[in-house]
Amino acid sequence: MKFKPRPLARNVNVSQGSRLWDLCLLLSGMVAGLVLLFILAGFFVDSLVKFIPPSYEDLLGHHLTNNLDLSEDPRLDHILQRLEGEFAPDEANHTRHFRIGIIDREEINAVALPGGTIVVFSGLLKEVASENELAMIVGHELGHFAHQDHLTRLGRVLLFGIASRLVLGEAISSRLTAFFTRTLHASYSRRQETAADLYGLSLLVKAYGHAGGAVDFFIRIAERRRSGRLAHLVASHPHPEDRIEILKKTIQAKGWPVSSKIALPETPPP
Amino acid sequence: MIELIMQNVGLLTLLFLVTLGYTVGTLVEKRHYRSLMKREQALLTLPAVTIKHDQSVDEIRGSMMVSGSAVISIDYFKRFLARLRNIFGGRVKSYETLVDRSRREAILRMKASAPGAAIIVNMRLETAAIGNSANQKRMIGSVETLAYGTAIWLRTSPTSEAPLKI
Repeated sequence: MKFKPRPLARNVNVSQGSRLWDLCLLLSGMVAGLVLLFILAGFFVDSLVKFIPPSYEDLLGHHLTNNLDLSEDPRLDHILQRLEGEFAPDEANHTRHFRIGIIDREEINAVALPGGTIVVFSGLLKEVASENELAMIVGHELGHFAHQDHLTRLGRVLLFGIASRLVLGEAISSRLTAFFTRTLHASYSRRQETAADLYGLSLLVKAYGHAGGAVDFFIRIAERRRSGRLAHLVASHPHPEDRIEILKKTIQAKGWPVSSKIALPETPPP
Repeated sequence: MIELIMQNVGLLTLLFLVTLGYTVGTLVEKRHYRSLMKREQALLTLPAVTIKHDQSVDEIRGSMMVSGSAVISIDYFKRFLARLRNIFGGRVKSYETLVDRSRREAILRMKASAPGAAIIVNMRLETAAIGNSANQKRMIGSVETLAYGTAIWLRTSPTSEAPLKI
C-alpha cells in the first residue's frame, strides 16, 4: 500500500456555524427562563406571604434587626403614635406593634423591615424640614407594612436568587441575577412604592387634617438629584417627579386642603 | 447615566470580558489555525499512524519515542458560552476548536521532534484538563494534549548513510 500524503479537505472535528448566533440563542433561552422563574417566584411568594404568622415575622425581624444600631428619637415616636391612631379598624396594621428608630447613615432613605421596624437613615432626617414631611415618609413605610411589601420583596429576591443560583450556577448567576433581579423587580417595586405613597398620603391627611408637606420632600429631592429618565428605568423607586405628580393629582381629586406645616424641632427634645 | 453604569458595574464587566474574549480569542484562533495549516503542509510527508508495525526490522536504521504536547487556554467568551451550554445541554461548540487546535498542535510538535524520520508508528493521544475546576471562578481552564509515538528512521531513506543524530 502506497502512502499518499493528503491535507485535510474539511475539518470535521469543529462544528460549523457562528458562535455569536449560538450565544444569542442561549442568552435568549436563559433570559426567558429567568423571566419565567421570576414570575413563578413572585406568584409563589405573593400567595404564601398571607400565611406567614406575625410571630414568625417578628422572629425574622428580630434576626434582621438584631445587629442594627438603632437609636430612638422622640420626634419619630411622636409621629408614629399620631399615625397609628388613624389606622382603620379592619386593616392589618391596626393590630400590629411598630418600632421606629434612626441609624447613622448618610443615605437619604427609610426602610420597612420585617417585624414592624421602621428604620430612618440620619441622612434623610437632615433633609426633612417639617413634621408633616416626616409623617408622610413614616406613613409611606407604614403603607409597605399594610400591603405586606416588606415580606413579598424579601421573599421574591430570596427565592429568585436561590432558584437562579441553582439553575445557572454561582459564576453566571452572581452578575446576571443582580441585574435581572433589579430590572425585573423594578416595575413591580415601583407599583409598590406608588401604592405606599398613596397610603402614606391618606394617613397624613387623616392625622393632620390636611395634605401639607406631602410633596415638599420629594420636590427637594427631585431638584437635588437631576438624574435622567433612563437611569430610572431600572430604579426601584418611581422618578421623584412622577411621585410628585401622582400625589398632587390625588390631593386635587380628593379635594384635600393643603395648610401650613408644623416645624420639626432641630434636635430631639430631652 | 453614571448612576445606571454604577448600578450595573458587574454586568458591564461581564460584557466587556465577553467582548474582549470574543475579539481577541477569535484573532488568536484564526492565527493559530493559519499556522497549523502551514506547518501541517510542511510536515505532510511524515505520516503519524496508529499501527504498531510498519517496516521489517532489517529496514530500520533507528527508532525512538517522540512526543509533543500543547496546552491551549480558553478565553472568556468560550467559557461563558460553555457555561450557558451547560444549562441547556448539547454540543459544546466553543470547546471544539480548543481541543482540535490542541490535538493538531501536539501532533505537529511530535513530528517536529523527529526530523528525518520516515514514519511515526503507534501514535497515541492523551488529553488532560489543566485546572480541573475550569468552570469555576478565577480558575484557569486549559486543555493539554500529549501526542507520542515511535519515530522510525529507515535505511532506505535519503539520509540513510549518515549517522543517526537526533
